[in-house]
Amino acid sequence: MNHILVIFEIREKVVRKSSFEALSKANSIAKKLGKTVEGILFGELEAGEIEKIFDLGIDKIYHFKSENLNLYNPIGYFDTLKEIIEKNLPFAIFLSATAIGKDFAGFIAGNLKTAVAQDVISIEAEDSSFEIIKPMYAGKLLGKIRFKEGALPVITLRPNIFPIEKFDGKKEIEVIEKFKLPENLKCLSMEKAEGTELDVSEANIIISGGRGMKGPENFPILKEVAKLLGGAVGASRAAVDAGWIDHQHQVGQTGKTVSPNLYVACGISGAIQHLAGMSSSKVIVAINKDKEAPIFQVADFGIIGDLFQIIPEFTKILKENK
Amino acid sequence: MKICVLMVQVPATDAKVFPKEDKKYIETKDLKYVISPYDEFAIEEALKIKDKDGSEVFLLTVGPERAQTALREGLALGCDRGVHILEEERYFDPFYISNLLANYLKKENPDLIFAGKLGVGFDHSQTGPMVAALLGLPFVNCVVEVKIEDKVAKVKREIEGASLFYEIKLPCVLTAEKGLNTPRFASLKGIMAAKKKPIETIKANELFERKEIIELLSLEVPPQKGKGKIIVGDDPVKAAEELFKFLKDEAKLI
Ligand SMILES: Cc1cc2nc3c(=O)[nH]c(=O)nc-3n(C[C@H](O)[C@H](O)[C@H](O)COP(=O)(O)OP(=O)(O)OC[C@H]3O[C@@H](n4cnc5c(N)ncnc54)[C@H](O)[C@@H]3O)c2cc1C
Ligand SMILES: Nc1ncnc2c1ncn2[C@@H]1O[C@H](COP(=O)(O)O)[C@@H](O)[C@H]1O
Repeated sequence: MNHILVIFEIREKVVRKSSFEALSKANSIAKKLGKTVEGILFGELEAGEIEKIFDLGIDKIYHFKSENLNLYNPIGYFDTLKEIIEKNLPFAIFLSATAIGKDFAGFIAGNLKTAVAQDVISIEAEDSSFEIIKPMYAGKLLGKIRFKEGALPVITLRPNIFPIEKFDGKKEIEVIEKFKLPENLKCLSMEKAEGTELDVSEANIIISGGRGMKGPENFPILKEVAKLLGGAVGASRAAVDAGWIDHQHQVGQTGKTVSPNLYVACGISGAIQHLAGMSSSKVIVAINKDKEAPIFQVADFGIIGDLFQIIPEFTKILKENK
Repeated sequence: MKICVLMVQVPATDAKVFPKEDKKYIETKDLKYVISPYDEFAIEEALKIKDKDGSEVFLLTVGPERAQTALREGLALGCDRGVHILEEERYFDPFYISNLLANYLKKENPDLIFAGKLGVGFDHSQTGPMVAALLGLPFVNCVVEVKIEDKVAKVKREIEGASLFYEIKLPCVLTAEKGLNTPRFASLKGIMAAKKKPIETIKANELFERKEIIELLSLEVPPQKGKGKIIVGDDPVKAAEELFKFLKDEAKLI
């Protein structure tokens, strides 16, 4: 009960950035409460990945190094991990609120007879209890929650919210070759989406298009801006349902909830389901022909005008200032 | 096969929700309710299997009286029967809900359990995996493709920028992601037939003693932004320059 356990996420032998955010928050809380931080890694890693974690500070890493664990298998992962958790029950378990992080957190919690606070945006540690804030109704409301006395908190932290910071740690590592995989669930393969673009849920900058984009042939102009700014392309449901762009890009209540530093909405009216998914973005820019469009109510900077005239000019300026 | 769909009734996605005075729940006056959108995908997927092989599909929900309407809606779409675990109208954590569902499911042992990836509202996003854990079943979350043959499902699941392909043995739990299918609409005949389909009601405390892990301290409206700067972009060059200046000098983002 004396350590916070961080479960890292690895994709193609590289630790995901959002896992470092979870580690940093675990470290800062551990420091405050006089706890230690331990980490779990599944599968093979590129050289230098463990050093990156050590560099940010951790007391102990358990690395289940088998190549059989390279692909996510919740049952196999839990069975492999179980002994370590049960031998020394953690004070709390942290993961990043990615697709896999949220998935594994739910299964862990079910097995350990506890629950998960998913997608949290704030954790205040007081004595031994956390006060947690998590968006509800896709961000229309914020819920302040607490784990009851004696319950093991399992928490997933929304990417892009918690800063990456350095701490000290004992930097021990135990490499374990043993693993367990179930016979009733097999992960056969992973296939990268075309383009291997940055996913909206992890991007710091998102350039989104809606019905105002008129057709799939126009999305490249947003892609170009996204590329220049190092961001991802998002979309409203109208654009997704029209088949102009894959639903992986959809932002909103039935798409992804995002909180980037910059969200640029082009030709998006700002329906309540769309706003729910993006209104917690730090800076919002809207470009829309209709001055009554509700998107302007959440915009920090709005341009009432034709996106097909404004975006190309903006792209030009970005290129000149590269 | 016997297929169960876990379904929850939630406020319509276009509803303005705000906290009740005590901040422990949402204000329910004049709220319109719907089947949670991801559960619509789950129901559709179950019905697609039923259309093909005549499987039995039943709906299972935990909720107050009003949840009956969602069950009827599901029956109108073609599900065979509904099971209503009756609880109060208030916040419940996913641990409690999952235990109620799992304890009921132990009596029926369906071959396949569908759920949504997330119940719109408290957005717990964990009931599917948790029920799987409680029942000792394998699961795959957020599926966008399901093919079943000889008690084995081949499924595709999406993650950020990639897809994972799984082979999973039945019985199992699958949760639905957008993109899985296009839900059907109820026909008039379906709506009429639904009126005669059975709904069983069970009191929650007959299944699991109320116990909670997470306590909801309060619901708040997120801080509203001040009015932003809105300009008219009749001159696109000037508008683009102003936007660039704003991002550079004020927002300090580029
Ligand atoms: C259950 C449910 C779930 C939903 N979930 C989501 C969700 O997750 N995400 C989501 O986005 N929506 C969601 N919706 C849909 C939502 O209600 C809206 O229909 C949708 O967001 C509208 O998309 P839009 O803004 O692109 O299109 P519109 O509302 O049609 O807006 C297009 C905008 O483009 C502007 N425009 C047109 N041409 C130009 C131009 N040349 N230059 C500048 N501006 C231009 C117009 O003025 C208009 O404001 C959901 C709906 C339901 C019922
Ligand atoms: N009260 C409930 N009754 C039945 N099923 C539920 C209930 N709450 C959640 N579920 C199921 O679990 C899924 C995920 O919900 P949640 O974990 O609450 O986000 C939903 O899409 C439903 O399929």
